[in-house]
Amino acid sequence: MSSHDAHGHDGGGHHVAPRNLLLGVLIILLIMTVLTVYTALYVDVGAVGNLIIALFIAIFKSALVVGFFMHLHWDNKFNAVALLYCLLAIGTFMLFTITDIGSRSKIEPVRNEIIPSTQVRDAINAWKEEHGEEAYEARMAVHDDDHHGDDHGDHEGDGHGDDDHAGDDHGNDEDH
Amino acid sequence: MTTAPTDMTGDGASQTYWERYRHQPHWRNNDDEYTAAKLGMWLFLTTELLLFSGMFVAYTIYRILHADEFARASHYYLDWRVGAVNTAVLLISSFTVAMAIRNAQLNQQFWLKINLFITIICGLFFLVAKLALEYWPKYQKGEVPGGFFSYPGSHGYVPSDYDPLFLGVYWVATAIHGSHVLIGVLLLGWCLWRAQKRHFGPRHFTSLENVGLFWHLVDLIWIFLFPLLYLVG
Repeated sequence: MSSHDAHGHDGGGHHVAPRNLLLGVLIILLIMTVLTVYTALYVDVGAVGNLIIALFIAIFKSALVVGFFMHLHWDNKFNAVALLYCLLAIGTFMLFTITDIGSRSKIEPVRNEIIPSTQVRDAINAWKEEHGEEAYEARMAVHDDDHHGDDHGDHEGDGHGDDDHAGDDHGNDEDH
Repeated sequence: MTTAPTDMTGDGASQTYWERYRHQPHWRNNDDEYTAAKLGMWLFLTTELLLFSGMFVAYTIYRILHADEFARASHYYLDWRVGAVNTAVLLISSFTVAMAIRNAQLNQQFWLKINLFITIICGLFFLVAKLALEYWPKYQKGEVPGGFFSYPGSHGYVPSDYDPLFLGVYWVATAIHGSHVLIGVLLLGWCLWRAQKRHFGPRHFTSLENVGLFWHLVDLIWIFLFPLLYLVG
């Protein structure tokens, strides 16, 4: 297959990825993950802007994985052609999905809705029937402690709130 | 399936599997066999990408139509810290499997097994974290997709009409990804077992290489799932 000799090592004729290169790629990937989280939590350039940043970082990360971890950079180019053709197909799905859904409201402003589910109302009513209206009010009450967390926005306070609601629910499960 | 080479010398009996490995008779040489197997794996990986692309298209539709409800549900139901740790674990495991292939190419049998072992541990960590911190609590609370949804809300959070939809996308996408992680762990275990029997070396590491490719694909999918599900802005 590949004819290049890999740094004097015997790799059975196949390219051997240099260790420091692989390690460097891993470090960049981890830094990029931190960057993804950081930009999502602390940088606000609008919902669409943040989505574009996140996708750009994800595409960059996957290019590193495909190019170096998966050896495509040194590989038979036919494998790259197979992958690129697949990505072209996925791009087509995405492009026409986005142009369709994104422009539908201009044509059919009223029907641009999926009919809301009744699951949520059923769930709330079922809970109320089982535990009573007051228990539901108590369950939904926001304590001062939690309010502090809520003030911080959805981001860093989120984990806090999540823990609370986890504990709360475990209590309820014991009631059953 | 392999026959000993004809030029077997006195120490031929002590040759390991990879040293005496000979391609199947319908190939011209080992390289042709390796290249074809790898192309086959890449073609399989493209079908895997197309499988996941269906889920990403569904995600795109629902998110465009219900952007606010999706952002709210993502913040409430998912903890980005679990997703971030799992992302790091999968990236590290991708690195170790790439190193394992390098070890096989350089006949570093000990490090080959170590790196495969670390990869398997990372895969198991991912699965256990997913089950223990996400799936099981969510299942108990009724935060499940579509018609099975029975979560009444808590602490001022009233579920929106589209929460069952968000959870549907979340569960289906992550569960299909998770099943790939599970299959990947089993395949890596098979590779470790074969590495123990010295099946992989500079002249032969086709299965290891292809399992590695599969594992990287699992990592790739997660690179996209993590920001799209856990960090909806």
